[in-house]
Amino acid sequence: MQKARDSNKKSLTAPDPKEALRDRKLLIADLDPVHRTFLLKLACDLGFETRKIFLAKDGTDALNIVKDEGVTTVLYDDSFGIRTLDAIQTLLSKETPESVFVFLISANSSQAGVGRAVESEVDGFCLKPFASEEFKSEFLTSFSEKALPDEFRRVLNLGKSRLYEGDLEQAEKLFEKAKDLGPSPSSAHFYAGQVKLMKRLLEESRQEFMQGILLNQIHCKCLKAMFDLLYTQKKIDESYEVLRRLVGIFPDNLERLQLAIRMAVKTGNFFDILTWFEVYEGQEEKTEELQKHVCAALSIFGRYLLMTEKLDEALKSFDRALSVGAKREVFLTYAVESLQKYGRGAEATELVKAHDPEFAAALAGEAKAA
Amino acid sequence: MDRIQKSWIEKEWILVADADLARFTALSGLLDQIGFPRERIVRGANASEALALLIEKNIQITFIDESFGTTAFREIHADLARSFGELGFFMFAITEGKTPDFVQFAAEARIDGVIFRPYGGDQFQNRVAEVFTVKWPNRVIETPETRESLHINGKSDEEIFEKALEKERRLGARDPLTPDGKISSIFGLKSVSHPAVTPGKASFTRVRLAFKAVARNGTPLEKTFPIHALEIDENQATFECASDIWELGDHVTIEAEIGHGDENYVMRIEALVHNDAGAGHLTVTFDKGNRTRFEAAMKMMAKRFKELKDFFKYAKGA
Repeated sequence: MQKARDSNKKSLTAPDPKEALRDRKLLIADLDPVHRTFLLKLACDLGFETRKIFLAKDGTDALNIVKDEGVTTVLYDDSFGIRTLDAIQTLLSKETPESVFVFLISANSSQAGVGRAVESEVDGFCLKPFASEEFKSEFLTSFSEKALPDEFRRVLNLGKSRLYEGDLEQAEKLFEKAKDLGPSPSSAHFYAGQVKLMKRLLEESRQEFMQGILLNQIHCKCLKAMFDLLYTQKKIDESYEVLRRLVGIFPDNLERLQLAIRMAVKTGNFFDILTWFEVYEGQEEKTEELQKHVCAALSIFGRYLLMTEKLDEALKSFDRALSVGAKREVFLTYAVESLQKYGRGAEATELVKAHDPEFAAALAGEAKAA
Repeated sequence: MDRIQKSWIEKEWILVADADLARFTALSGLLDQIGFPRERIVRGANASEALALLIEKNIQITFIDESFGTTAFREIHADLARSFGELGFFMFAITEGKTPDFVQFAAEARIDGVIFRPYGGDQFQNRVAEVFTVKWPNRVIETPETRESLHINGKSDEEIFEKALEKERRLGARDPLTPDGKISSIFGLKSVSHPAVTPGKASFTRVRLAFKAVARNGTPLEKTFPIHALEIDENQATFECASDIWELGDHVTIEAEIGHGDENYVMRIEALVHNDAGAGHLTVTFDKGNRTRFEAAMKMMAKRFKELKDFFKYAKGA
């Protein structure tokens, strides 16, 4: 009798995640056919049934499979790009959160790449190349956390569903409870902050985000929420302090970088511009708008350095701005004007020679003729 | 009753947009009693008159009646928002609740207050004074000019330079993970020290991995070719490999480069072709002897991956 009870208890408390995987349809999205086959083998080892596994060779294929086959479990390689992942997650957002599981595989072993994975809100993550056993263990752990959540996650999920239903009071109670359950319940503070935001209790909301950050200084959601709140309240200096941290930790986001550059100038944090320039250099995609921002910021920084009598650094800053190449004639004019204003005519001539030799030659010719 | 400070509004004009003259007169009296000087209250009898007054007198305080209609309400609100920013003006609506979209727009536009007619004079005055005293001293004006200055326009700004100089003196050089204590203490930012997090250029540094097959059974290959690791640990690996020259039991010499930051390992490792894992794959087991460097490189890679994995979990939270 006792044995029967024990076995019942066991099946209730520790269900096998592999059992749950067997019933699920899986999408494997990977550009590389060899790697796709490799992942297929690993998926079978994990317990997925072959007939329920769908392979996508490109983004369109992947989106069609999600739409047409009702797949909610995705093994996604970032060779497909982050935009397709966003599109898949948008499609999956219509499903019940518990049924969705997205696992990301990435070859980008940089802080920026992993930071991007954090922001994409996938359920699990693994870097390539990996050892097979390590991958399987990581996949199963992440899946268990999602499909068979612990008490903290269970209460948090319940609160989230109440929040989405608009039952703010009940949601708040559940988030309060969750705060006592997790070892580092920053997410509970984040959602409690959202409830307060919806109740328009801005100060209380800020306190919640602050608590979340105090518990975890790199908690992405709390940092983003704190920034949004302060920025909406037009607290420029304060919001910039949060923004510079966000860009420092999660640098792979063009819009955010542009905003950081603008706000660095606006708040007089000129020395940050050098860091933002490094972040700009690290970006795979460099839009024209971003280039203009970088050029403008470096040019203003150059002028500031002239004012503080740091000539060499100022010249370096102008040179960097002009090397980026956006609106070169505008920024060259600005640099020349700045140098002349601070009595550096010779340096201005050299700068023109270096960046617009034709114009410099024409000027020299005119001077000679005169 | 006079809770609205004279200094706040002595230079301001107040627009009451109401089609009904008698109602306007009564309303002006009520407003006067709580501190809005009657002589500075003007009436817009219709939408175009109201819009003209807004421009002519640079008005930032408005009361709009439902009789004006939702379209005029939208236009007046848009004009004020354009001129002073969403948080830079005061707008109060009076409604009988007859036009649902009028009330709906008031809610959507988040204007400062709505009151339903009929109301008592005291009730109206208390409500207006209450919201005005909170809003007016805290309003944030954002004119088209200040909005423009949010964008970098390439012009110098001495004020900004002064601010920068003060910051430079106070804070010196700091990275994005070191907060300005004076500001950050308000919302809990402290310095971050996580092994996976290094701001700036270093945040884009990846673990470098490059493998090349250079010899087969001790004979150098005429043409070496890169092979791409699908899975790897200290003992075995599966590579993506387009060549089909390999046979079970072959010895393969692999030139490997594994590095991160300043730590770089370049080495040759010997491996035995382990099995035929299928087209495009090359599965090997590494030779047990003479591979100290390889083990050190793998350890370095595992350490970095672990740091990044921890960063992912920690930054994501539950």
